Amino acid sequence: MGVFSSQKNEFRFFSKVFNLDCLFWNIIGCIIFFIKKGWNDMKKKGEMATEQIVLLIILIASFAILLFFLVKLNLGKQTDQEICHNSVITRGNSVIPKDSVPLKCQREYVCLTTGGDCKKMTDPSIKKVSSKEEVYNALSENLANCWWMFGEGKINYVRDEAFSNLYCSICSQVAFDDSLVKIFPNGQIDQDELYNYMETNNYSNSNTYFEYLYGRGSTYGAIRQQLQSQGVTFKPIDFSKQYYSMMGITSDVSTLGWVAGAAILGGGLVLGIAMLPIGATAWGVSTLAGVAYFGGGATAGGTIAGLFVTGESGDDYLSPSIIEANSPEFKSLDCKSITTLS
Amino acid sequence: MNSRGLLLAEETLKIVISLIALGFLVYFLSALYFNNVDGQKQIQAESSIGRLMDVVGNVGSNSELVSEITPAGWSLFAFNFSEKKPNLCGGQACICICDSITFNFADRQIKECDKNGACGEIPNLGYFNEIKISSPGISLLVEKQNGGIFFTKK
Repeated sequence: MGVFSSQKNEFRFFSKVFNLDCLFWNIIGCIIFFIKKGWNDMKKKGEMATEQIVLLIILIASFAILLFFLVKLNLGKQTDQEICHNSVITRGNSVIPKDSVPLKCQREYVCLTTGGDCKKMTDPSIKKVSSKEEVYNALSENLANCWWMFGEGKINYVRDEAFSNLYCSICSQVAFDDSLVKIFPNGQIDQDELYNYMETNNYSNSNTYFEYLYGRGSTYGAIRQQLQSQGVTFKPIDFSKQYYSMMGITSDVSTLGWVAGAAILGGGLVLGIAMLPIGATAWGVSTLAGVAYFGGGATAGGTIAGLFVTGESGDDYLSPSIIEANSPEFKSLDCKSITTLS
Repeated sequence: MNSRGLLLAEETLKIVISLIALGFLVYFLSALYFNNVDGQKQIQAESSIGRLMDVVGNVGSNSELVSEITPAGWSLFAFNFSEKKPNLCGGQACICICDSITFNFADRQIKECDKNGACGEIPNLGYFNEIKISSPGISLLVEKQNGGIFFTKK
C-alpha cells in the first residue's frame, strides 16, 4: 500500500512539474509523426521495388507474347524446309565428296483433320480442311514442297556408285484423322482424283502441280491411259493408315542399270522393285522414265509404288509420291537408305 | 531509407537475373551432355532394333535368341493395342527401344520413344511388358506363337 501511495505522489509531482496534458499530446504527436514518416519511407521504398517488379513483369509478359506468336506462326517449319533445300544444293554443288556434306532434312509429321484431335500422332502439324479440294490441295502442296526441297530434279545429291541404288527421302508422314469421314464417307481417297486435281490446279502462275512434278505439258490423262493398258493402278489412300510423302534419287544416270540391279537384289518383279517403261515421253525438261509397281505383273493388277522421272540433271528420280508407311509398296522400292532424319 | 530501398531493388534484380542466367547455363550444358549421350545410345538402339527386325522377318516355328541388345539403361517397349503409338511406327504395331519415363502421363513415354529412340514395325506383335536392358546388354528370345511375335528376356 505504501508503495502505491508513494507512486501516486510521484505522479502528482511530475504532473505538476511537466504539465501532463501537454506531454500526452506531444507523445501522441511524435508517434503519429514517426508512423507517418515511416509510412512515407516505406511507401517510397515500395515504389522503387514495385517499379522494378512491374518492369520485370512487362519484360516477361512481352517475351511470352513474342514466344506465343512465334510458335503460332510456325516459322520453324519454313526454316526447316529452307535448311533442307540449302543442304541439298550445298551437297549437290560440293567439290569435296558428297558424303562428307550432310543433308539436314527432317521428316515432318502432318495430320489432316476437319477439327478432330488427331490422336493417331503425337505432336503433329495439324492442317484443318473442310472440303475435298482442301484435302487435295494440302496433299499436292506437300508433294510440291518435297520436290522443291530436294532440288526439283536439277541436283544430284548422292555419290556415283558402281551399282545403282535408290536413296529415298521421306519429306513428311501424313495421318488422316477419323473426322475426315465427313468429307470422304468411305474413309478413302482415290489417288486418281488427287492426280486429277494436280493436273487442273496451278502450283504457280505458269505450272500446274502435275507439270511442276512431271514437266511442262505433262498430263495425268496420258499416263493413266498407259497405266490402265498395262494393268497397274494407284492404291486408294486409306484413313486407317499413315502415309509417307516421299521422293528419291537413283545413284546412277541409267534407269535400266538401276532396274537390273534392283531385279538382281530383290529377286525379280514380285519381290523386288519392278518397272514398267512408260513410252519415252519427254515433257519439257523432265522425262517420265517408268513406273515402279508392286505385285501382279504387267497385266495382272499391280499397284503403283511411284512414278520415275529423268530430271534436268540427267539423273532418275522417284517423283514425290504418297506411299503407305512400311507397306509392301514401300518395301518394294528397296530404298538403300532414308536421307531424311525422323 | 529511400537509397536503401533502391539498393535492395537493384540487388534483387541482379540476383534474379543471375539466377535466370545460371539456370540457362545449367540447362544448356546438361542438354549438350545428354544430347551427346542419347545420340550414342540411339545408334546402339537402332542397331539392336535392326537385328531384332531381321530375326523377326525370318523367324519360323522355332524360337531364336538375339544377344547383346543394347543400350544398357533403356527399355524395350511394345506398342500394339493402344490407339496412340510413336510416330516412328507409322500407325502400326511396333517395338521400340528408348529410355523409360518414370511418371508416364500425357503420352510422355511415346514422345520419348519418338524423340530419342528406335522403333520397328511388327504387324503381328504379341503383347509383353517393358523389358529393361541391363548392363552390359541382354539377350532376347524371339518366338512365334499362334501367329504372334513375342519377346522374352533370357
